Amino acid sequence: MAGCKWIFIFYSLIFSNPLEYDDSRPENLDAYYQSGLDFYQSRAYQNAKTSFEKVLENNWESPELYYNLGNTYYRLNDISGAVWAYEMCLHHDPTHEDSEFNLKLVNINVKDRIAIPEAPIYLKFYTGIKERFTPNEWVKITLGLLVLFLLILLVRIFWGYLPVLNFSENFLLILVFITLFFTVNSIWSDSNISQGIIHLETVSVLSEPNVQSTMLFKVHEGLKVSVTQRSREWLEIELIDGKIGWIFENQIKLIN
Amino acid sequence: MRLFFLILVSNLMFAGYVTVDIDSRQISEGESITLTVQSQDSKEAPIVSLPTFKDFTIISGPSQSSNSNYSIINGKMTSSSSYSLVWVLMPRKIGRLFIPSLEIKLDGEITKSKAITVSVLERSKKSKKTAQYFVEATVDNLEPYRGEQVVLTYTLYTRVDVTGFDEKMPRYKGFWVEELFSPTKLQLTKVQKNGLQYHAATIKKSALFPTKSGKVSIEPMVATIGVRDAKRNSFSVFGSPSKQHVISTETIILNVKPLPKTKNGITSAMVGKWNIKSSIDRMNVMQDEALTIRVHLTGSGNLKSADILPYKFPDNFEVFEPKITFENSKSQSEIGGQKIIEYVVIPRSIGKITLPPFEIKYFDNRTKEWKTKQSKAIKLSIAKNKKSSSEAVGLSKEEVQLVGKDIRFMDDSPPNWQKTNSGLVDKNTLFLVALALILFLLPSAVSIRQSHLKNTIRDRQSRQALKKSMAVIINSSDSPLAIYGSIHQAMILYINSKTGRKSAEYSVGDIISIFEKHQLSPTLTDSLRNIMERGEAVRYSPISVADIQNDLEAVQRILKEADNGWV
Repeated sequence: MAGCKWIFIFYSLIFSNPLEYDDSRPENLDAYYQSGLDFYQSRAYQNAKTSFEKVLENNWESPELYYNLGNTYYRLNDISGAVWAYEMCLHHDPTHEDSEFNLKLVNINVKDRIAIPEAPIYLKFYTGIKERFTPNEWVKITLGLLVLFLLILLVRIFWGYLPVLNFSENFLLILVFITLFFTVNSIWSDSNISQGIIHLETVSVLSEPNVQSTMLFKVHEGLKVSVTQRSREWLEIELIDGKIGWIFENQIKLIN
Repeated sequence: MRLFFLILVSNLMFAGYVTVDIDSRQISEGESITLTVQSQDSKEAPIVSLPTFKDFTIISGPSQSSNSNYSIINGKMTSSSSYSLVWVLMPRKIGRLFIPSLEIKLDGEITKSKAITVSVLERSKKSKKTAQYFVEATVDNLEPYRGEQVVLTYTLYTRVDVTGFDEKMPRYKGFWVEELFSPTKLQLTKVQKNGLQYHAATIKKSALFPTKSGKVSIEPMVATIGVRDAKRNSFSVFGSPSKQHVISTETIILNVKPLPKTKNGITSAMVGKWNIKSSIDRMNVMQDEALTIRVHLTGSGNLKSADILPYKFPDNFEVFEPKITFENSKSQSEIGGQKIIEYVVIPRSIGKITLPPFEIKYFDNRTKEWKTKQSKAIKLSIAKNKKSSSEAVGLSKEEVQLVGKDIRFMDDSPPNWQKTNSGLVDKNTLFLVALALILFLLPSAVSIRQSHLKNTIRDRQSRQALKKSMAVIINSSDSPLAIYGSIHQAMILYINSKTGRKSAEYSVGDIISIFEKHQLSPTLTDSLRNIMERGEAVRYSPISVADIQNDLEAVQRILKEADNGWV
């Protein structure tokens, strides 16, 4: 009986939503979100946008919120806003298929189209797996596999040797190391590579963080760029084809 | 005529006073006046705070000088000292002008002078005609259009020996100025002027471009001229001494005409005669490779303000900030030359593209009309660049399939809320970390526990010895033999538990000696021996129930006592 009790506690902690225990979420948050959905359905997109943005102002977010906000921006012809919202949705839930589809659709309207040589297949495979989960999910996957490995190890220690257990143990240990590598890489990418969406119609990219410096090239709204450096209110951006330059921070909307 | 304004300064030691003095109250235009502030019998020089002179320009000053006199009258020595501060002022206009009141501090006392009136008369032609030296400012056009070039020339005319010339140029408010000619040494030539023969030299030549329309004046140029004194000093071996004079030109007022309005409303700041042409560095152009397009603006006029009309390159051209260079023509009569605008552009797509012509619009001051000129259009054939990384500017196959489709509908599933910028660690993650840690440490903990139990088994047995042996005695049957047998067994169990031995049989002597060894009192040892021996004899001789009971109680007491004192 005691064993059953422990299994129940373990199960409830693993699979329950942690926020069920968090009382700090404001009550009107759901009301804002629901009214945003209602406004969207009744095609009052400006009001829907205001309601969804209220939730964000309260410092709460969810993939669903970003997805619906992206749809609202799209309906309001705010291309850069829509790209940003869908990117944010995928940042929190990389498997959100609708968001992925809508992002592709919106990107058709982005002026700057930069094609780069196709990546090698192994790199595509690796990136595909890494970006399938968020860093948080990678941490949980690795810890879950580690717990499983340790459980098998315990069984072997206390109940003796079994060939099946030995095989599982080795297999799990290899999996733990693989997922650990993905986790570290995912966390590193998340914390070091900042990205953003150009959100003014046309932005001149300068050679230095200084309004007097030479203009190198121009970018247009909706383009996704990497942010590599910051100097006061200036950000150094890098395009996917390797072009680098400086823009003012209010010309870009950062992802995360 | 000399004018004096006396201001007495009361002082215990000195009766100091100060005078404010000008050399003339009536002058002609182009003449200067000298303002002198002089103190007498003061300890130190007067301190003058000058107000703003609206009507005059300060040419020089203050130049300070002092003088002390000592005299002995009737054997008594007296001393007096005087200080003087001198400014040279040039009137800015003709009419009744004022030198405002001066605030003067003398030996700690502050006093104010009265304002002085000066009459400035128009320069008489007669005086000009008979002047021995003068400087003249002339312009080639008194009624130019806004932005049209006006050549201003300063010429010095002299009939006397000039030893030095130091000019001070006005600020030319309302004009863009370009210098045309400025000699380092004056070149004098003989000329006839006003019926007299003069030596003339061009001092400076400038091109002025009026920046506003209406009456715009060119302020006088003021110069200090050194003139050899006509009265020959027979004592000087170096010739006659030189004397400094301040002279100025007349104010010139230009009537600047506004540029006429154009038909289509497009205006330009270009005035003069201009031409435009464009060139390209090469005709074989490849996609994503930079090429240079130069626009040449050639003509006479204000080169700095010359520019092309707004121009838009095709969208698929990446355009960098243009580089601008000037090539001035070396002419002393007008400003002009060439302005080159150099664009570096990168075509991003392939195909035949025609760059529209560059245009200029300027006002021709000779024909008095607006003119538009344009360069030739540039036809480019941009070839495909195999090295290009951004070739696929168009839509991909996948994207083409999406054209015309609408976005997917909203997601009304319950949101998975989380705090903005929440970190990697949430409750679930923490739980997994704790669980992994526990599982990792569990085998070690179990092993440590087992080892501990193994190490402490004797202690635990020792602690339970009394309890176990008592249980053996109490559970014994009523048979005397069995009772004493159980007492014997209890003793063996107790000793084994206490000492950790595993012996199955001890003689009475062994039991007693073990108890003695572990410091059981002699009385109890004797009592135990008696009971044990009675137990051995019970097989052969009967024993009363009361004695058995006493022995049982005694054994229990002995065991308790032994357990308390066991060492």
